[in-house]
Amino acid sequence: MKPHHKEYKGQNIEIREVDKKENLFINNIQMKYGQLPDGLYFLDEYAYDWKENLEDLAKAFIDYQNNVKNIRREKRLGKGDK
Amino acid sequence: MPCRKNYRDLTIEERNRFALALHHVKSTGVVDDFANLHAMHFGHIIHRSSHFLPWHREFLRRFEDALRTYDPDITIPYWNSTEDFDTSDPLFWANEFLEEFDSDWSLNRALGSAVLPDPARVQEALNKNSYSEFWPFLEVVVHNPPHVWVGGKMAGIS
Repeated sequence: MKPHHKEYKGQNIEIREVDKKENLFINNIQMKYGQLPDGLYFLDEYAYDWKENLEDLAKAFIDYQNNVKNIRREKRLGKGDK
Repeated sequence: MPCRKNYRDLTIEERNRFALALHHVKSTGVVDDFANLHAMHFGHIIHRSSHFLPWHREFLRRFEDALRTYDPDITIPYWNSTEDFDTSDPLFWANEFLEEFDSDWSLNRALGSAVLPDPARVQEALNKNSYSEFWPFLEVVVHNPPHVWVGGKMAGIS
């Protein structure tokens, strides 16, 4: 199976199948993930926003990372207190 | 019977004792053991199954017992995430209390990374007519967003 590529908000999502297992890469970094009893996917570092497929999971993680970057930027600028 | 209190209702002495107990169990490796245990079981019926609530209740009770080996009067305080989320409030996770752990333990928080459920959603959970309706709603709608809202380590499996 050919790797599946997707650009999302300037980030590269790639799903490669190796030995019948899907491997998820975001910007060429392999992401650790697992599945819940009903098959929903989670990332080890983003584990509470479950999705039905790895592409949607990667997009949600990228959105989360963007939120985190904005929060840290505002914090540095003194707009946030924590 | 010990009573778990909102962290805002703890006296200064109770806050200090709780923080000392946390530092103690971190230094002995207990915190990391509990984090690893949660991570190990994450995809194996402790989430997205009816075991979610009883497993985590027992998990917290055991962690509380670990804290009590240092101070027998400790109870784990709670955070009411539906009403208490103003990060500009100087008493919110105050520097001399919960904030210190962010840097000390490299938690890498990014408070505000998601939308928190409001009290109406909690009431919606409580209005469910059966356990089989209650736990999935509570887990996804009420429990999950605060993990993401806190961000950093709290957003991950451990």
